[in-house]
Amino acid sequence: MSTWTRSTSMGLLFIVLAMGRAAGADLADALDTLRAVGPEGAGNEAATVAWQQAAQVDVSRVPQLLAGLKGANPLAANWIRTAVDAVCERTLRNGGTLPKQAFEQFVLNTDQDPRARRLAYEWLLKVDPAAEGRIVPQLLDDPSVELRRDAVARLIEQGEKAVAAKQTDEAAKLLQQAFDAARDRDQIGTIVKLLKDLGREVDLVTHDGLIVDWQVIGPFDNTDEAGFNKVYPPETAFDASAEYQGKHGKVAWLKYRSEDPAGKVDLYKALEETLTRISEKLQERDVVAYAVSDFHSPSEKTVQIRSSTMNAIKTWVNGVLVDEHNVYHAGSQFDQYQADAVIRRGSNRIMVKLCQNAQTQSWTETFAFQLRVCDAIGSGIVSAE
Amino acid sequence: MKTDTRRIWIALPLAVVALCAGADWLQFRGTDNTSCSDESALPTEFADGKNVAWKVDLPGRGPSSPIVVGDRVFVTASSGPREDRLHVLALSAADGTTIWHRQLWATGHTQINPMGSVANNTPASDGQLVFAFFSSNDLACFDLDGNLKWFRGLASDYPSTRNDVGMASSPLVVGEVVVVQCENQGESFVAGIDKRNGLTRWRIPRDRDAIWSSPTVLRGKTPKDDVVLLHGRSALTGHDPQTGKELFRYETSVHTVASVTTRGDRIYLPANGLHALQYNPADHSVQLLWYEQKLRGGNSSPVAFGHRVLRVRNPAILSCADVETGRKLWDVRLEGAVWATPLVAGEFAYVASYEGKVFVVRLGEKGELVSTNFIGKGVLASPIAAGGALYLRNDTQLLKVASH
Repeated sequence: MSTWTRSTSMGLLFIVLAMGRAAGADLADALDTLRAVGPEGAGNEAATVAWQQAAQVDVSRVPQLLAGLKGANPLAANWIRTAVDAVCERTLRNGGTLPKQAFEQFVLNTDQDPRARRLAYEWLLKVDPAAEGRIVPQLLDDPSVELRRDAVARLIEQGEKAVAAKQTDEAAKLLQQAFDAARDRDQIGTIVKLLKDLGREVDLVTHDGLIVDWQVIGPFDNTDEAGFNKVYPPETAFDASAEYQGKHGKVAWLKYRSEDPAGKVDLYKALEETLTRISEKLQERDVVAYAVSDFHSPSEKTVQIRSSTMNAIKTWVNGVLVDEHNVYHAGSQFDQYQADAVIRRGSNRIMVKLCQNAQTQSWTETFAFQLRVCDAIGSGIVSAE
Repeated sequence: MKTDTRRIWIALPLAVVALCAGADWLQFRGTDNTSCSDESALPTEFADGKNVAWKVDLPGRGPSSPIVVGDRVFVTASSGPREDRLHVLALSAADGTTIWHRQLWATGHTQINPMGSVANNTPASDGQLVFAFFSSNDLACFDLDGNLKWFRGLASDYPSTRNDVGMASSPLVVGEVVVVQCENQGESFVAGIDKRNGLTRWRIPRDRDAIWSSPTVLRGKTPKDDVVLLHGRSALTGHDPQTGKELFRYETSVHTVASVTTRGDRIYLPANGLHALQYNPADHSVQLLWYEQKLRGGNSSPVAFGHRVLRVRNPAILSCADVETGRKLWDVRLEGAVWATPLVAGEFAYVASYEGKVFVVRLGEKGELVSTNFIGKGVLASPIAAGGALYLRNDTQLLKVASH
C-alpha cells in the first residue's frame, strides 16, 4: 500500500469515525431534548426539531433510541417510540433490514425499559419471526408485562392441550405456573376457569395482594357531596377504641373481613347496623365511611396501591394521601385507580375514605371498594403478618 | 371553434373527476360537521363484496371514523389487553396499503365500555396536519407523512379528567386551534390547542358531568366568523374559536351523546326532541325556530340537508322532517342499533347499524329503502365519503366502496 493510499485510508477512517461520533452526539442531544418535554406542552417546539433528527438516524442507532426510553416520562416516551417506528418503517420500506442481533440483545436485557424491550421485540419479529420461539420461553417472570403475557399465553396453550389429552396433573402443573406468572386479568380469568374445571382451588386474594381484613367506621354525613373534602376525626388520628359523632349518633370502629373471592369490601354490609335504609330496596345515601388496615412489610419499598370502586374515594398510607377520586358511579373495573406509595419496614396503616352520594338509580346501590398492594407490574404483595 | 367545443366537453368530466378527487373529509361528520357530502354517484349496493374496492384489517378496534386528505385515508385504533396501544395509520386511498403507521402509549386512563375502544374519537385534519385524539386524552399531531409535530398527554395536566366508560368527543379543527372537549365527572374543560405547537391557547372549565358529544363548527361568512358549538348537559353554547369566549347560551336539557349539526346559520340541537335555532352573527344571539318532540332521537346526530332534516329514532327508525317547521314527513323502519350518524350523499342516506348492516335510503317525497348491505359486525363509525368513494368501518376492518 502506497503512502498516499495509506494516508487517504486513514483520512477516510477519521472522517467516518468523526461523522459517527457527531451523529452519536447529535442523537444524544436529540434524545435529551425529547426527554425534556413536560406537561402543558412544555418543550414541544424544540422536540419537533429533535424528533426529525432522531427519526432520520440510521437503523443501527435504534438501540440507542430504545435505550433513551429508560426513565423517560410518559410524554417523552411517545416522542421517542414514534421516532423508532419511523426509522424501522423507513428502513424496511427501502428494502433494508433491522440489526437482528442487537434487537434481540436489547429484548433480553431486563435492565432496559420494559416497553422499549417490547417495542424492539415487535420490530424484531417482522424480520425474524423465528425469534419468538427463542425468546418467549425465557419471559415467564419478565418485568415487562407485555413480554410476560406471551410466555403465559404459551403455557395456557400447553395446558389446554394437556387438558384435551386428559393429562390432568400435567395440565394443572402448567396452568398453575401460568397462574403464578399471569398479570393480565383476561389471562387470569382464563386460567382460573381451566383450573377450576380441573377441580383445583385458586386463591385470587393472595395472588393479587387484595386486602380483606379491615376496621370500618361510619356513617358520617355526605349531603351535597360535601363529605369528600370534610375532615372527619378518623383522618386526624387513628384510635381503635374511640367513638365519634357520626351522621346519626356515636359511631365506633368495627372489625370486618371480606369473604368475597375478589376481595370486595362492601361497606353497606359492614355498616348495616349503623345505616338508615331509605326503603326496602335502597340503603342509605349521602354517607361517608372509613376503612383501615395494617399492612406489614419486611422492608421499605415503593409499591402500588390499586383500588376500584363506584364511589368517591381517598386513600392514605401512613397518613400520606396517595390517591383521591371525587367521582361517583362512572363505572368500576379491576385496578381502576393506581397510585405509587412508599411503605416502611414494619407496620403500615392504609386508610380508605369512601363516599356515597344521593343518587338512587339501580346502578348506584353500591358502597364498596376493592384494594390491593402490588408492584409496578401488578404482582400481588401480601402483608407479612 | 369545433375543436375548442370538443376540448371543453372532454375537459368538463375531467374537471368534475378532479373536483371529486379533491373532496376531502377532514373531521368527524365531515369538514363542516354536517354529515353531508357533495358526492352524487356513490354505489348504493355493496353487499357480498360488490363495489368493494378494498378491505383492510386494522391493528386494533375503534368507533372512530376515518378521514380523507387528498389521496390518503387516516384512521385510528387501539389495542392491547389494557387498550393502551394507540394507533394512527395513513392508508393509500387507491389500494388501502399502509403508508405509515405510528403507535403511541396511552398516558391517561384507558378503561372503557367493552363496546367502545380508546380510539372512540375521530381524528381531524386541516389538510396539512392530522390531529389524533383518544379516550385517554392523548392528543398527537402528525404531518401527512407521519412526522410527529407535537404531542399532548392531557391526562398528565388534568389527571382526574377521565370517564370509566370512555371519552368519545372528537376534536375539531377551526382556524388555528384544535378544540377538544373533555367533559366528565372529574375535572371538566374544553380547550383550544394551538395547532402549530400544541400549546393551550385557551381553556374553559365545564360542568363535572359526562358528555360524549363533539364540538361542532358553525361556519361564518368568513373563517374569522366561525363559531364553536358546545353541548353541556343543560345548555348549548357558542364560542369564539380563537379565545374560547362564550358568545351565546341556549339552555335546555341536551342529548349527551348525539352532537349538534348546522346548515348555514341554522342550528339543529338534539335534546328531548329536536330544537331548530336561528343564529344571528350580528349580535351572536340565537332564536328558537321550532321544537319537535317527535324528533327525539338516539345516539346518532341529526343531519340537515336541502329542505329536510334526518333523525334516527329508537328503535332504528329513520325519520325525515321539514327543515322549516320540524313537521315529520316520513319514517323508514330499519333494524338493529344505530350509533353512527347517517351520511347524506346525493339522493341517498347511508345508515349503519352496530350489527353491521348499512341501509341505503332514497331521500324523496317518501323514504325508500333501496338496499341493505352487510359489511361486518360492530359498526360504530359513521360512514364517510370522499374522492368518489364511500368509507366504512366495522369492528376490525376499514372498507372502501366505489364504483369500478
